Amino acid sequence: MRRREFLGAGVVAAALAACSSVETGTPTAEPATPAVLPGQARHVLEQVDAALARAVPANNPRLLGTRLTGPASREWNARLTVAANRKQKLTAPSPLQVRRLILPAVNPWPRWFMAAGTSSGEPTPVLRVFRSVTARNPYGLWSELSLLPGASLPDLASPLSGTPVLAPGDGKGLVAAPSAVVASYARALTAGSTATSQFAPDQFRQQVAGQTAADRRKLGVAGIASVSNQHRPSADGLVALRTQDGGALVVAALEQLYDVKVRAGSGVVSLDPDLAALAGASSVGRSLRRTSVETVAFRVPPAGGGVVTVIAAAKADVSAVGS
Amino acid sequence: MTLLSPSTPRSRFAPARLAAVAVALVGALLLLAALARVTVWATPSHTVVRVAGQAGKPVVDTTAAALALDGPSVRVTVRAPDPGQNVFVGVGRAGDVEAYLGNAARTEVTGVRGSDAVLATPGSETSLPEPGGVDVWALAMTGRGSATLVWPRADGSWRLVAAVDGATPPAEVVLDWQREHGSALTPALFGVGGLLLVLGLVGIGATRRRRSPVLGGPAPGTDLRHDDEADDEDDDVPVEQTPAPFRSERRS
Repeated sequence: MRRREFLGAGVVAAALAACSSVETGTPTAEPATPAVLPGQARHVLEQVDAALARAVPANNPRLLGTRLTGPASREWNARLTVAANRKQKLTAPSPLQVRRLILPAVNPWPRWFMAAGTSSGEPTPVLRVFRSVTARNPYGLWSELSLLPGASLPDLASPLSGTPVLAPGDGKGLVAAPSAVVASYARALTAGSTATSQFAPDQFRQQVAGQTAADRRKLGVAGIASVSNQHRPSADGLVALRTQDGGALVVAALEQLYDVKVRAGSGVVSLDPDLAALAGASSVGRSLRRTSVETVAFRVPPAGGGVVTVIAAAKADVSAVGS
Repeated sequence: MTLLSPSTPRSRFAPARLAAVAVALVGALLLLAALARVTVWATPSHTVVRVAGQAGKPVVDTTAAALALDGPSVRVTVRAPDPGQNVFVGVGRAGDVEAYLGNAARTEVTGVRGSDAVLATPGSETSLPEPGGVDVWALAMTGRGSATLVWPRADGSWRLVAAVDGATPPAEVVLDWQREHGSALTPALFGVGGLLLVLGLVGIGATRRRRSPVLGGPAPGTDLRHDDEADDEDDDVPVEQTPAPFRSERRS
């Protein structure tokens, strides 16, 4: 009798325990997908276009919010300041007709992705680069680079499941680590030489070197001012993605510091209208420091694979301080 | 003497009959279990829990395990304290949502018990960036006063976040899981149970039909005293193909 009672009590207790159990599910294994899904990438593109459409016609950099970051944020702040000072109205860039999304694999922040395509008003295809610094920061347009004539984007490794991201200092299997490539290119730009063994000749370097040489001729030969020029890797960082051939696509930001020192008693140097609007002065009698951001996309071959090629670039003045 | 022995046929047929009864019984039990799974033990077609936002905890979220409760989809509705406020509900990769939430104070659904949510309250930060302003969401909805999102089952680990502006907690979040109706086990139980029941009943019937003739025949074991001829005859009959009752009958 007692045994039966015990059994009954046990059954009731088991039933109650079963009724009060906590239900949860079991998440399945993580599928191999990029850190940014295509739908998320398109949402970001729309948000960036919306931010530009708000801020540009109003000449109001604050309306850009967090949807522009890094070099692009500095560039558009400067452009809108110049436009406001010159009482000009700029038109917002038209939305990108996306031809290709470049989506990295899941990786720690900062995270990046890219969109290549065409934009009406742009003569060449463009590469838009987006970055999110932390999970609490949205992706913002980091830079918009123009593809150089004859250049094309390399095929990337695992485009559907997410392209592996390389650390800036990881040169394993490459002709050089991404950060070393950028530092070398900055030196090449500073030197003004168009023939260095590590890089194939490119139009961007030719133009930068040509402009500096022209200024030096114009101001230096007349003995009015001296011109110095320095390019260096920027704190805005770089992203490196593995290409299908074992190389890397590297997009990096550089900074150009361009100094003009006017010789005492030799007069003043006039600035062009945009630079004058940025500097807040139409001419300088002592010195001018002009700061530009440069973003460059490199195709870095695998070790033993030849020279590094520049495939896209952009440059914009972001500040000018003169007296 | 052996022909009329009542114990001998019983010893031959009882195991077969018992086996048939056992098979039928197991079949019947399986059928009952299957019936119970679709009636009294049936999983409800929906599990609905309501979670109220708590002061100082700006978001209501779920763990990946809670969101993955079995079923084809979960429908989530979030309501703002003020009908004029925008509310947000979104689902993102568990790792990304974890990085976004950080140490934010939250009301976290970790599972369900009946129609109640099992809650935890981790984190201590009383505000975090507005969820609509970050890009960790695979699917997100916003709306004035309320917003609803239907999240279909997807591979991987996903978490849900419902919020207002990252500082004000939502008034209420309703999670409605559409549950699985039964499972693959139920049809299997019906099939196997039915088959076993039929086999068992056929077996019982067969043993019943053969009982009378067997009782009139020679008792098994009488042939043990037969000569080699009988043994030879016995050898010609494949044991595997002829059940014991028939073997006895042939010898009579």
